[in-house]
Amino acid sequence: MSRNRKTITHSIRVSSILQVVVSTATLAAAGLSYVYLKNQLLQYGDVQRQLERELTDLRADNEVVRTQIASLSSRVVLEKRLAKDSLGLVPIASDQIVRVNERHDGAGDALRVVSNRGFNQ
Amino acid sequence: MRWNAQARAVTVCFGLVGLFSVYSIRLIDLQIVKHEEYAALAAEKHVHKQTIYARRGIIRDTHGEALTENLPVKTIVADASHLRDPMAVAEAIANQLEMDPRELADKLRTRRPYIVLKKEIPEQQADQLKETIRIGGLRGVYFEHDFVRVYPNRSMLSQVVGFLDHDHKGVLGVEKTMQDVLQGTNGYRYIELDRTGREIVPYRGLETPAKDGCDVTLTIDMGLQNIVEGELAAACAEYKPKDAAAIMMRPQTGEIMALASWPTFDLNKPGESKPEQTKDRPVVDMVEPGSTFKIVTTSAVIEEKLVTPQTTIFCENGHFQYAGRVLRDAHPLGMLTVHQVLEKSSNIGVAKLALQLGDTKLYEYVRRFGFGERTGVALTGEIPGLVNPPHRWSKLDITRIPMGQSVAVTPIQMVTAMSTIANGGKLMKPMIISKIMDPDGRPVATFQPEVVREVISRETTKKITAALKDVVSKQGTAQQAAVLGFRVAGKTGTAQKIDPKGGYLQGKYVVSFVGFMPADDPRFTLLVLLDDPVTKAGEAYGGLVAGPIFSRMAEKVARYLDLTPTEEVAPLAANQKKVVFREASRD
Repeated sequence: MSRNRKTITHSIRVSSILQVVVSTATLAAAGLSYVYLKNQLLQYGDVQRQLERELTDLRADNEVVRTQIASLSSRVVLEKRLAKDSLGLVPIASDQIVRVNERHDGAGDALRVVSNRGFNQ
Repeated sequence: MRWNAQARAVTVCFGLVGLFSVYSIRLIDLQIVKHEEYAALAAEKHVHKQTIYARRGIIRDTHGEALTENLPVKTIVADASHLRDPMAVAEAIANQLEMDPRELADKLRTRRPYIVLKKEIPEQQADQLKETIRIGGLRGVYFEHDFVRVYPNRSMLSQVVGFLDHDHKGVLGVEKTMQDVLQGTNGYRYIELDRTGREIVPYRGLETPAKDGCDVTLTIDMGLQNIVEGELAAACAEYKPKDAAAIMMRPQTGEIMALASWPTFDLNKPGESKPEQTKDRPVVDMVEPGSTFKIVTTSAVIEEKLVTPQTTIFCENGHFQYAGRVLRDAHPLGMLTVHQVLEKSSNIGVAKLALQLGDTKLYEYVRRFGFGERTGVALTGEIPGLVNPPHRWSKLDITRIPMGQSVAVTPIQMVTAMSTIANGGKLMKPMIISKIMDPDGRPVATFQPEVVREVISRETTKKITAALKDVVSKQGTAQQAAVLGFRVAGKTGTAQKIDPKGGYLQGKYVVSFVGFMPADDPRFTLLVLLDDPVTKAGEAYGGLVAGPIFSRMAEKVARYLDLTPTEEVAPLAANQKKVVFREASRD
């Protein structure tokens, strides 16, 4: 063995290996992150779509309920129910109404004047 | 020639350069020159334009009560090119769609990309159908958004509110006149779909949001409308007229508080209506007004100071010959004051006043009161009526026009003219739209009352009102139009119906009453008009038919509006119990 070859050492270059490992890991992490984030994005997209659909359904349900309320509380329906349930409600005749004049002198409502002569008799 | 190594290398290099040049040119052609073309082709394959639907605005009454609603429904469509087994799909959904499976399968076998299976499927039913499709793993059936316009009050105010056609465009009433405001604007977004047809949300493109339609608030009060329509329907059941109309207006502003037209129809079933039911008579029908028109001539002669209410006129004992024809009164009348001419509704008296006024001035006042022109109310199909200029008048017209013949007016013109008297001489433009609100409830536009012109002075209106008050008295022609506790001012009208073949129809009349209440501080003007009512012989008069209807309506309206009586109410009968009145609080 020559003298020169004796002096050659095969030491491991840790720094170089680290460089490669770190850079590879960084690249791999970046790639995986990209894929992970892309997946997340798609998942959140699905969630968004689902929520939008629920919102649309809720709005539609609201419209349906609002329409039902409007129909059930319409005069036509109420009058029919009034007639059907025979609640015995009759309009008050004009001569059965007592009207009071509001005072304008700020004295409150302790004193009132009955304007319907019929009730003063 | 011998190929040495260098020559071969050069040749190969040139070959490669040439090859890559061809590729490069092709790439440039594809990527740059034809970029738009291929991008559009690619987009067509996987990018879709998704519509974001706008909500149609709601029509409301003056208190915000909804007169229309939008009921969401679905249209079921199929893309036959996506179907694997049309028969399986048909069998799965036919029952829920209430269709024959074979008929449905035949539809699906046409291989067309867009087949409408059924329209107006309620949301709940559509959800069940979606579930069936999901469980069955079926493809090719889709659900499209749609809505049905619902009218909760059905036939009430039908001609004013109007309805929509199949494309959701208004075809009558406010639905038509306010179409642009109500409909809103659909939005859209560009989306990309994956191979299963699901949207890839992160790849959403340009998005334009939908703009919902605005709500329209009317001047109509549904409480009053209910009273007016109820009484009009009852009167029509009693008198069986060909048609009828009633209009209530606030004279100070021209706001239409109620507007009824009979016969009416159910807005939820417009297809079942007949043409005469969809006519908004107060604006599209014209009639000879009859004696209600006498307010024009009497106002004119007093305004022109040709006479005073106390000026006397000889009424020829009911028989006045003019231009070779005889003009008659319903009852023979002698000397009457101008006040009494209106009170007794003398045809001869008002004809003589018109002769004194002259044709030019008479025509001027007829036009000043708004006859012969559209009022401009926001309702469909309004007509101007018919008022000929004096140069087209016959010699008789000067005596016929003052009593409401030889002119044709719309009911809304008549009520507007009477409102002019009630409003101190100012002619107001009739209003039916009060305001427009955006979907968040913020006002977009508010309509203000509009004075068209000052027709006559306040002094003249006071004199006319005094006479009109006496019309609704024991001496007048409309005693039955009186309302307990209130003084009413008004005028009756009984016009013979025009025969389309010429002349007048015997025994057929248009009867009307138009008045305002309380007479000295009017809160409303009300017109009641019946076309050809069936009555006993000699009873087809405005005062006997339309007067009592007015009275019944006005009494209920006074109660609804909580008007304080201006007259003393008759005392209770002895057998009636007194109501115990406690010194109650304001609550």
